[in-house]
Amino acid sequence: MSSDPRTEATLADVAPALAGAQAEYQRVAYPGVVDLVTRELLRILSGRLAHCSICRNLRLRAAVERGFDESMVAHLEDPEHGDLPERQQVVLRLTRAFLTDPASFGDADRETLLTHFSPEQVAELVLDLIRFRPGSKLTVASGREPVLDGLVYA
Amino acid sequence: MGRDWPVADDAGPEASQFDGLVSHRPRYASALGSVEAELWAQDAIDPVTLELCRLRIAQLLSCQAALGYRTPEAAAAGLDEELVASLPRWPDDPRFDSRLRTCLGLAEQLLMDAQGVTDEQAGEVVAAVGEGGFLVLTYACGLFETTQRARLLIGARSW
Repeated sequence: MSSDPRTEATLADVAPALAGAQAEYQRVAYPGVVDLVTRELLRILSGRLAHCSICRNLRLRAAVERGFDESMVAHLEDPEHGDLPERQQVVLRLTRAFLTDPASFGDADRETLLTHFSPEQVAELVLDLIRFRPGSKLTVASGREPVLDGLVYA
Repeated sequence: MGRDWPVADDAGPEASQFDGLVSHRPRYASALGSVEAELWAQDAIDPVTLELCRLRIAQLLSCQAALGYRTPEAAAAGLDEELVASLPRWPDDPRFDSRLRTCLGLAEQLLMDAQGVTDEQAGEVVAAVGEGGFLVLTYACGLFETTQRARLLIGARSW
């Protein structure tokens, strides 16, 4: 880990069209068809598993306004032991499986996922999972994580 | 037997399992496609190096769908299939020059743990492919990983 940026340049400087496409990928992700609180739980767990302090500490104010609170974060990595509803638990199992052992998300989990989410919503969750980690890795590897490890609201 | 992963009606008969799923959210899926297209169109790092890193990640993730695919830009740029076959032996195989080894080393480290990328390793990559190459390769490796993980999740047989 580095506390100083390892390059003077950013992705936008060296590959502007790629950075522009990445920004558009981010822009069309919202408002989306899955509730923002569930997507926020997925994003924070993804950030934790990528060891990205920005991702794990960022909190979207819009999600807070829709019911997200910090007690939900306590059981992100063992959702069956918390108070989260089944639909959020299965999204967290999806997230963990995706980022650790995708094949472990078996038929029963897929059935539960499709019981709670429409095909459009499932597509959105998968596209979220594809989107978050590349940016996290770029932030970490390029040494652009913040020095302070506290919650940030945006 | 549970339900299969859903396939969008308008995905088209030639659509892959992955495209069939994400086409349920067409604008979002299209934006991902644009990111991938711009990744292969940029000139900060060459497509053959990107492809070798993509395939090395696929080997480590055992993603058969990715291993069976060749990115057209890399093939057009002269991707050497003998080099692809030798990828597992890149640290010791003399056909991999120091520049490729540096990039493949970064790809493997990013897959294992991005926090493990040291100042020294990042400096070596910048020295080998420039700041632009380092940044694009880092982002690309993350994208290769997650797009492959998505295929593994849904059990895709082809890319």
